[in-house]
Amino acid sequence: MNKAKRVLIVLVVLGLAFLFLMPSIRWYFFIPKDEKILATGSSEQIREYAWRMARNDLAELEKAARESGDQPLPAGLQWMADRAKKLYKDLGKQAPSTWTAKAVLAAYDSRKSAMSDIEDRYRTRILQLKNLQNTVVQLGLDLSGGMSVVIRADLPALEAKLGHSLSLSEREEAMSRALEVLNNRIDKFGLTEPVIRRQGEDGIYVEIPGAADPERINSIIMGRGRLAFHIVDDEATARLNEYLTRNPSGIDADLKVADPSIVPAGNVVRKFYKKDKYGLDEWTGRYLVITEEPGLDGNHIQRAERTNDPITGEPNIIFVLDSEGGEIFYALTSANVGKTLAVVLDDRIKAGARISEAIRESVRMTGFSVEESANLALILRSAALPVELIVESQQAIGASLGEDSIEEGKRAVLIGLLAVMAFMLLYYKGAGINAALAQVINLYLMLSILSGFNLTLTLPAIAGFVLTVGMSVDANVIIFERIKEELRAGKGRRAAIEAGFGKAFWAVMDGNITTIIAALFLAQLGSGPIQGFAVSLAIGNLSSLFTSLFVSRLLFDFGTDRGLKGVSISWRIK
Amino acid sequence: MKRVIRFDRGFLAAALISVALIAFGVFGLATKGINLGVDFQAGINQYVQLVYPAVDVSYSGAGNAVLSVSDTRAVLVFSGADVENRTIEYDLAAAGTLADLAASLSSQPGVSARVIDGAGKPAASLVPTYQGDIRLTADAARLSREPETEAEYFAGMDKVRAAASTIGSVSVQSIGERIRQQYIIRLRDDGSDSKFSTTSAERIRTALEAAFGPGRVVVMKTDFVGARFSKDLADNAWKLTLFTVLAILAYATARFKIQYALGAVLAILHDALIMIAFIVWTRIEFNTSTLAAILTILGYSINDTIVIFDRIREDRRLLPTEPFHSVLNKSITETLGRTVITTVTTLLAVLALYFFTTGSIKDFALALFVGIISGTYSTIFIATAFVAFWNDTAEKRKKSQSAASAAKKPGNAPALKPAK
Repeated sequence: MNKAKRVLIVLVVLGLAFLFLMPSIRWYFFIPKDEKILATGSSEQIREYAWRMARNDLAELEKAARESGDQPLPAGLQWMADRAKKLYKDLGKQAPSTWTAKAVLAAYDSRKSAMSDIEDRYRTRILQLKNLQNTVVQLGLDLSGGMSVVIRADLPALEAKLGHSLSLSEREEAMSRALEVLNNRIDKFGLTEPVIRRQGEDGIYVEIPGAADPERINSIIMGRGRLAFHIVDDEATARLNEYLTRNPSGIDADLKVADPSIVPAGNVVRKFYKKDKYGLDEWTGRYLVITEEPGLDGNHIQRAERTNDPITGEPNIIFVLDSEGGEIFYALTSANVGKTLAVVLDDRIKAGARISEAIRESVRMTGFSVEESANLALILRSAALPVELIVESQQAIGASLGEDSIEEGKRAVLIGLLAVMAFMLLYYKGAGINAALAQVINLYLMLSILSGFNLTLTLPAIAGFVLTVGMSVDANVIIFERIKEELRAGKGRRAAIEAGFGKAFWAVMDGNITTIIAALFLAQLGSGPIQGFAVSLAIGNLSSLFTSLFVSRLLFDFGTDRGLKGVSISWRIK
Repeated sequence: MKRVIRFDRGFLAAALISVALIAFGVFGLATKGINLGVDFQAGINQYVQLVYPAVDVSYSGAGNAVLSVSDTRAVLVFSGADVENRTIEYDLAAAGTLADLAASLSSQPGVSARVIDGAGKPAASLVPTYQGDIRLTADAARLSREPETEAEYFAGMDKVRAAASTIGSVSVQSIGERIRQQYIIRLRDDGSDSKFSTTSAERIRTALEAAFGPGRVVVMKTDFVGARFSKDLADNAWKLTLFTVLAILAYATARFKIQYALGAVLAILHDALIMIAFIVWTRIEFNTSTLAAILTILGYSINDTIVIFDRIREDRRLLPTEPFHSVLNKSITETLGRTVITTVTTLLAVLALYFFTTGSIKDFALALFVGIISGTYSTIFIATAFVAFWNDTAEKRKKSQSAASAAKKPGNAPALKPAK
């Protein structure tokens, strides 16, 4: 291969590595902390943020439009002029020469579409940040601070309760019920969205970045999901919606309404949720006013299933109550015919259904899509068959300890690198520059691979880096020693380098491949920390193959072409 | 040409020393046992700091206000729709006294900070918000401070142990500087209490608060591992070590001859056993980090061994008539420079880890240090010695076979056997 091609390959690799690194650099060094807090929230928190911002902006815009006809656009809403220009064009209308608040508003056919336009803009911006965050080096909990919990669903206890062993599909369903209950509380964990995922047959892994308070988190995780039926106050709900149109920030994060006259005593505001296409809860943007006390507690449910109506074929949900529950439900429904009944799980309204008549034990709910009814049946069954959760392991580490660890890690990498580089320069003189440069490139490549593949950086992974810095010099050392031997045997620069690299090739390959084998096995072991270490070890070995066999060779060849005769590689060999 | 060092003279002595060291380790393992960390033994490790209550902070404005305190900085972040989004940082060293810091916190709209104790103490004495960033609400969140002087010191191992002992048999360890009053409290999960996992963290805190007073205990870190988890990890560790060794054996057999592969594996097993002996006798905690150190050394040592084997193979080809032992000596001598330099650079990196980190990574570095020295030594004195031993035995057998076949020939009297 000629030299130009080799230089090109090195440049392409370095450039690619830079592309991999870019998002991480942007996220960790250029995004302000307050934006990060928003971006790491759950999609619902982001939705809520966009919703509130849109309402505030629109209110400001309307106020400006009301006050005078030629009020300019409020600062921060200038982007709307561009949007409006496009809308005017689409409608075939003549765009005004100056954009006033009034003119901008006139571009939208309804208040609602203006609102959703603004909301979209905020949401898109934060979601873009969130996507960015998903493409960067993730910090492990030991560095970012936070908590990880491994939970096991106590299926044997459920079997004992049911009196028979669980079939495979029953086990699966029990697990999805347990996950449903946990996902339902996702916002209670804090401002950062937790990771909740199934692990193995009966395990659930929960990771909560930022929070490291086991006592609080345990109570959130272990608390039983509470399912209940509440009666909706339709009048108050309408009043609330009308009020919120006028006062966009009239409701706080705890769902308290600023004007106490809107929600009658004994009632509370709750949000209404639907499943999105990923099966996760998504707030519909609606609030309902419901009775504070449940009309019926979910623990009266004995079983629930989804069926199809024998005549119309429409999906139905049928659930059966115990006899006490039947009495309560009869009293409740007969007093509230024509009103809406809300199914509420842990303060989230999951479904609403109109009460058409008084009902006793056996309840049929209709008017849902196939998917909705399957979800609802699952939720209803989670009350009938609660799965006990057992904490298997739990690690909690504060963010400040994580910061200390990052500092320690940085220092260890830096000092390790400097020490090794200094040693190589002292021992190998000119060739040491080669090795030192190869080490820097090596570290750079390792970081970019971490970033490009969204791997997680943990303290053990940093330890892996430091170790790799020391170990990966080995490839250079093997080659240099070979070159020295060839020089001693009387060869000239070009021949010695040629023979040195050629003879060292397999020794370098064999040594690195065996280490990578060990690292890959290590990566299978147990939990995150060791994986991080093993992955960084394997990556380090791979990239050191590249730097020692390819980059360093190129540097030597450049020297040869510059007309160098000897090799500056030792104090004894001239 | 360099003078060839006769390494083979040391093979027997080295084998004896290694056997003795390993036997010493096995003896320690049998009598003292290994100091199993929380990963491998079900239970809870609670890291606590004994403190003074300092400042109560509450927030009554809109949006989110998040406060975090680290060793050097306090950061207050406002975010959300109904509040001007901003980040305010305080350098604790430059923030003056706690009263000054509270005053500047309170100057933010909606934030109210009230000093409870130690108004004149420096802001830098604040204890970090170990349990994560605090989302401020109308209910005040508590910041604590560490003792500044010896007169304020109120803890001590005995007192902490006595306080924690009220909930069962605990072990207590002091970490960090004495004046900072930081301790690890370890409580085993013997499986008798089904609620252990969810209640023990609180029980430890409550027991300490009962002894030292409310608000005097801050939890820094909690590690809990249940019985099944630790058993799974132990099982996995065994299997993985085995598979790693088998995979290396397979690769080395494919690239070299079987005696080389066996020699290499013998050397890495030797290193693992030496490290375990070290861990047993120094009472270093055996946890996932130390296990990772052992597995890393497997990789390091095999690398080292393969490089020498590679050279032996090459030299054998170049000098087919030379006796095997002198080829060995020559190859080891030729690669000695590389062996020493790689060992030195790796040790430099490990020393950087050892001196600049704390906690489990420090132990990890220490175990690595021992492993690297053992790995370098075993490459020369165990792996190659085994290959030499194998070759000698094979040659002897060949000789005695040819002698035996020679003896069968008529007319060859046994008395004519060549004398040594």
